[in-house]
Amino acid sequence: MTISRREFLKVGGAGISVSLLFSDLLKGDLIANPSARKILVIVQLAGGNDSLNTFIPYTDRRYNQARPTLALHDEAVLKVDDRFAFHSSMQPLKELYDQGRLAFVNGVGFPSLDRSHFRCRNVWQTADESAGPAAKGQLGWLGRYADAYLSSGATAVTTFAVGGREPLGLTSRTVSGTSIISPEVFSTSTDLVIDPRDPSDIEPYKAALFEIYGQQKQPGDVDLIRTRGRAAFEAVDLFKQLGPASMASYPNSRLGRTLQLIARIAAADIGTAIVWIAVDGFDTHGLQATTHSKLLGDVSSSLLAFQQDLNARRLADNVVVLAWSEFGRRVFENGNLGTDHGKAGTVFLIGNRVKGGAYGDVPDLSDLDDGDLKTRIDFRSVYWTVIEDWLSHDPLPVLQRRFENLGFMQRAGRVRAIRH
Amino acid sequence: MSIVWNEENAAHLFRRAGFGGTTDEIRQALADGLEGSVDKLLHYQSQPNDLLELRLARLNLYLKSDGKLSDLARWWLVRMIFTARPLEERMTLFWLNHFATAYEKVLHIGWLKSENNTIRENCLGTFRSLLFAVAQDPAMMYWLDTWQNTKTNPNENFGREILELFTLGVGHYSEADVRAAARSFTGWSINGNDSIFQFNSDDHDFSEKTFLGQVGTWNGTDIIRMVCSESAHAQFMAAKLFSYFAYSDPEPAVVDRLARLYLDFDTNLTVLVRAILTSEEMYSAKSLWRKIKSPIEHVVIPSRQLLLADDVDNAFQYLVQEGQTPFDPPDVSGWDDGLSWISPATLLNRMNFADALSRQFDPRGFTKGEGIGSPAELVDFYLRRLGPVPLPGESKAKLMKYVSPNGDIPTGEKLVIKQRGLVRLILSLPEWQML
Repeated sequence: MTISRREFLKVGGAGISVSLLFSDLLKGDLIANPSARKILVIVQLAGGNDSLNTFIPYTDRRYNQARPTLALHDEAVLKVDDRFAFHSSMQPLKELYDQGRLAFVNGVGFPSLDRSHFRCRNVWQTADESAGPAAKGQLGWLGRYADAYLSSGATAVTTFAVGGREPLGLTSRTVSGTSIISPEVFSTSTDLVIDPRDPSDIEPYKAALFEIYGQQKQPGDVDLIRTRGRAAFEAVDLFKQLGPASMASYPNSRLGRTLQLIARIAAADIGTAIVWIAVDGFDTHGLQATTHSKLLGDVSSSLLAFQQDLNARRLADNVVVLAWSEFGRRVFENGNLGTDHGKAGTVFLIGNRVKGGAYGDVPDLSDLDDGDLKTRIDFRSVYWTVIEDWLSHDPLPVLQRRFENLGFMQRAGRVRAIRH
Repeated sequence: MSIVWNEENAAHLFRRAGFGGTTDEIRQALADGLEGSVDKLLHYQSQPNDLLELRLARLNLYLKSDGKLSDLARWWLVRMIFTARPLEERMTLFWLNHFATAYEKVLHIGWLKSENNTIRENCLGTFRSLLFAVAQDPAMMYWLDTWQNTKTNPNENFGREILELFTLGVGHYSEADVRAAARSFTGWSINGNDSIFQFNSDDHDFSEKTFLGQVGTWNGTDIIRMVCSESAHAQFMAAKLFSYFAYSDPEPAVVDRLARLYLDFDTNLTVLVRAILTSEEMYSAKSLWRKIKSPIEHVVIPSRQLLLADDVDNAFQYLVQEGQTPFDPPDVSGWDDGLSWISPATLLNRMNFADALSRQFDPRGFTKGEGIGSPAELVDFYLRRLGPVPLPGESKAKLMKYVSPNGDIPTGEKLVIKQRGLVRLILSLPEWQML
């Protein structure tokens, strides 16, 4: 007797044979969600990345004048053309740019950017300017996307987050994904440990646990916990399918290990469609030069290694990376050899299906907003473009208003299935 | 008073105002009555805590500036589990999430321990004296840059957070008030050698400021005095403490009543907490079993209730993996609570912690003399000890079936294994994750 997973979860697990894995009933009925063949990896550069020192208008004299100690010199930067250069630590990303795989979009923000970490990151994650600093009960933009397009066929691993707790950006009504604090705890956060002292007790124990979690009860918090518990057991089984890490040369950093794990998840094709990675440390108020350099170096090498890993696994057509930060930083450096919170910043995207290049105008350092870069492109246009051209869905139900398509994605035709 | 003082309500009081009641504590509470029990919890000064201090001394943890966070966390967990003063530790935990200070920036184990103790010493006096002590605490001053805030280079971090997060809440002050507060706190600094507060008059702005509509040559002490007199503060504090003990989004009438009491008694926290813990709302359907246990609670509560001889090995690691590293909240607004603690990964962690705890639990001593003769009695016994957990009959039946498929109570080693498994199962239940 086979029953679909949805039926199982609705009716309750009465009568499971003790020897089954939780999802043994579901094998063969796990329909790979077509969208899951395309994976979107969000990289959140938390703290407010100094985009002016990342994608640098190096030929603008005002840049050097505003940053007597922090401005990078002509010889050090990695020149793109006669307007832009990359920070000297970004050679790996420059390589991707030269291959046409990296797009960066300047002047991205929203009209009411107010330099508050809490509020701005909530606005970015909900795509809703009315979001306040304490975003209770709100849905993320990718949560709304998941509700609209990933609900049927969603598994416990349809969305996957690493770093901090469940990100607001993924908070969804119907899709409850998996999130872990760091890649180092992946195996202990995704496996069930049972006292092996009496091996004969393990199966009766699991049977009791799964049966109690399989029951259908009154809606409420307890039932929500029950649902997430079922998702936990499902995730345990799905993650057992991961193959080994590749030999690609990831840096020995948390981000490197995270992306190495993501490549394994992508290759296993267990239904993960959206990945969210949070990278800390970008709030560089003081002694920015070395800190920022190290961060950009790590981000660049990790993302290049990730691309190379995907290439080797023949998955590079199936993944797009989008990196964002809650705001850019002020044009003038402060008195502590660092920079304070600013407004508009730069987002960048990486992938085979990205139309590489520079988008948006060169930052105009003569036309500032109270010392900050002006917003010229609404961040929701970036989301619009990704949903429409990469995920191939109508963005309107997600963003609730029309935004411009910025043209940095190749119109995605059919993508080859991950398993071949 | 129409509160029925029964086992369910007494257990609820001990769960929320402490970290779970043992059988003895609940039996005593039923004898003392509601008011008697609350008063005992509040007036803990008369309760000696030397057994805890002895235990801590024996642990001999290195807790100086360069100590390890895991050791400091263990010191705090052991306090919460083995204290004879549950409400004292409960209030300390509450205040540490209110005055959230993070190891990630402070990095000084000695300072963080000292801040923890300062809060403990002031946790149920007046809020004004607590705020004053915290504002002059080295860990806090370093965390919110108070020590870097000078007349020539004002730093608004502390000035903003004291108004936004610690006393008034957004909407009850202006940006100008933030700047005035920052200027008033200039000169407040740290004597690094002695790790204490030091006032540097050279850095202090002695000029006139306008704060909350009042003009004067204010300093930090004045700001603290003024915010504590605001009715907005009383509303803010009453609502927050009520939400912590009873339920979120309290009715305006309830908050008003508590706020008035709080101001009448000059921000006296004992008076406020007593009013909350003896209120009908505290024992209403909106309150019982309606919160979600945070990671610290799901570690400490069963440790107390199962009378564990020692804290669970490596409890710290589980807390880290679930996102509640003691002494290291994500930012100054503290930890979020509620359902955000529950995700597939964190639930697995809870189940794995339950496994670790069950290995340290000795059922033999625990059930001695209880006269348990059937699987049903065994299940009821543990549900009561760990709650009493309100569990539907269907789930209870599955627990009974686990204990014994054929209905006979197991014996000997088998019984020991089944009891450990039963504890593990109960601690893994969706219902048990509630508080």
